[in-house]
Amino acid sequence: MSGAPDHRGARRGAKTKISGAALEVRQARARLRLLAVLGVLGFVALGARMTDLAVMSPSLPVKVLHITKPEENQTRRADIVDRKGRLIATDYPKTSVYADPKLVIDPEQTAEALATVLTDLDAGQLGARLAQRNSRFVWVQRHIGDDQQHEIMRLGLPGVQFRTEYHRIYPQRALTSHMIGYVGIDNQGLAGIERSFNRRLTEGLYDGPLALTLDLGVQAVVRDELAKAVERFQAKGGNALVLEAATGALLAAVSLPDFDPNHYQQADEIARFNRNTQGSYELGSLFKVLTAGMALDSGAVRITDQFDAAKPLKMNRYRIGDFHAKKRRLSMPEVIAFSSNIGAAKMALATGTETQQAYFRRFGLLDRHPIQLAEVSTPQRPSVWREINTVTASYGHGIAVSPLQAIDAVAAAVCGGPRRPAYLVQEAGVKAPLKPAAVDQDTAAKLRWLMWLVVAEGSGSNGKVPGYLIGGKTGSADKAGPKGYGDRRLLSSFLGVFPIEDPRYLVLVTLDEPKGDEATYDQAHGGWTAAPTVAAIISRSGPILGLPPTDVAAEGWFRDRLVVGEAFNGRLKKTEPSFAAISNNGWSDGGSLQPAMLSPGGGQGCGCASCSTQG
Amino acid sequence: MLKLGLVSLTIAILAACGVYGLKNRVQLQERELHAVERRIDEEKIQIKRLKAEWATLAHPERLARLSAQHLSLKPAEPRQIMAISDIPLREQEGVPGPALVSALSSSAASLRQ
Repeated sequence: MSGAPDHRGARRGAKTKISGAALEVRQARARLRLLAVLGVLGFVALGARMTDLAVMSPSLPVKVLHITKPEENQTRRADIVDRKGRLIATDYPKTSVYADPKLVIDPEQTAEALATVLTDLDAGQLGARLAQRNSRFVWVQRHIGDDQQHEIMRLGLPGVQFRTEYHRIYPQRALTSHMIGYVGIDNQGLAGIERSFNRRLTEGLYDGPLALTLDLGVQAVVRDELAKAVERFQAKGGNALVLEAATGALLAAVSLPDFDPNHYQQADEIARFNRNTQGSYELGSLFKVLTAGMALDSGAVRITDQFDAAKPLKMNRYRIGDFHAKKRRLSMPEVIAFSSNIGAAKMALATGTETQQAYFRRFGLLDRHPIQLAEVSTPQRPSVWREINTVTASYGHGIAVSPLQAIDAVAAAVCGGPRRPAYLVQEAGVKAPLKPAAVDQDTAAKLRWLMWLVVAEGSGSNGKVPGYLIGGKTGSADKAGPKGYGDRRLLSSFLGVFPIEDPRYLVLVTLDEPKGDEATYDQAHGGWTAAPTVAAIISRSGPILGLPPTDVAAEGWFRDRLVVGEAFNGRLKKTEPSFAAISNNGWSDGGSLQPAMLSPGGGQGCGCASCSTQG
Repeated sequence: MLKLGLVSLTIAILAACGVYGLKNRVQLQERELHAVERRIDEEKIQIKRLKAEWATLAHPERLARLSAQHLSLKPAEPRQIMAISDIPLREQEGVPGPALVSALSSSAASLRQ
């Protein structure tokens, strides 16, 4: 005790005694004052903390509250929507009844009361289960209706409780099966977007729905038309893609046969297979567009060149012939328009093996496609690239790629500028980076002209659509069977670009082993089976996308560059029209480039990167 | 001293009453908050159900089937799409515009034939 009285001072005298008492009082006052100050300081601190809690940070515990709710214990997933916000996948709340036997007063009566509402309930059995006092959880019935829940609540049974659980459902059913995929029993994504974006969908629950580039309207049109074609031509299956040329956004992707993701367990392996991305096929003559692109772009071939296609080309022990042989010299545009293997092979030989490989790489055909899915095939290409591989690759054999890669490669070829590989999810940070231009704008313009010629005068004339000017390329690949090629099983495709004067969309349809009918003169080629399907898709989806019809003047621009002459068909022994291109009327062969020379509208082709479909 | 004590006591009792009243109000509000939150959760669940139902009902294939059954609508054709700038201006009152004139004259010609 610091303020203890001084006993030695008490012996010294009265005067000191008095002063000692005064000192004591003064010391006591000082102590009181100290205590008072400390007390006030303490209350001020408390007050400050209260103000801080009440005023400064009022809403601290809100999120904690949500996480501790019992129904939030299970994995929930964000919705998946299409580009216009239409629901593709969602968590559907389903309510279940359970009971806590420890809280149930009369098991039998409770069971009977429940059975009056839940009609397919076995009251006796439930009563027995509710009588087991050592258990604390008994399912009464899973997935009851809203009105049933209200009725049970009105019964006011002690110990009977509800639990809302979320089940992944797909309201679009089979429409978007492959790209969306499905989830397993534990709500974890097993295929498609559900699998590749599992983290975003589970952890980013509060970041809103995951928006895809797909347009359900276009998707429905594509699935309908493809299904009609598969049925009509008795094909084993088919697949179709619609790609926005400038941006690389996939608007529709259908693979048939497909499945209902709500009941994916019932689908077999074949139905679950995504032909668009998992398949890798020799796509045949579609590749001639790319062959022409690299031949023109590298300068090895000019659009005015001619190739002798009178006789089949012999290479080593192979003999390369044409399906519809003309047995004459073909102009470069005719090689594409009539889909001549001999001509394409000669173009590829002129281009050279190394250049061809370099362009294939630029087109993205040698690597796995970077689309945001797990189910993506690796292209099959020759291990050693010899001259014969160059020749077969020029018309799409000996190299197998996914249809997605093919449509992306053609988009890169007809658009010219830097572009993004095809993608499905719009969100920032998940798209592959822009790829540098595969060919220059001049080459792209010539390729558009060549694809116009294919539809206007060549093998793709069934791809015409009233209202839009279409460019395209047919492809009919012999499927390799156990006995090699040649048993006339085809993979028939058609790739359409519309409108060709300023490409906005590309459509690829591939049919697996179609059979021709009377209307196609028993022909099963791409030009007879896939081309009309593409035309139907374009004519129905163009208006959905708000695309105005082609300006009539645009066709003039294409016609102006065409030279029609006469030639003698050596096989038919008849004269027929021949098609060549005017070299310098419009596009520059090495000269200076002006936009007006590249497309009828004066644009740079596919230039409409910003005008995404909003219609 | 006694006065100070009385005043302090009064203040303390008043404060206690105030705090009790406040606490009571907070509890009531909390109860209301929970009720509202539960209603919001229920509504959210209901919205989810309805959205899923809407998506099921608005399935493109279902709409196409219903439209074919009950409506005489057909898929739009490319020629039905045009830019607003291509639509001629509304003709002024009393003064027939060139488009109307040509339309009238052609229909008159077809009538005469």
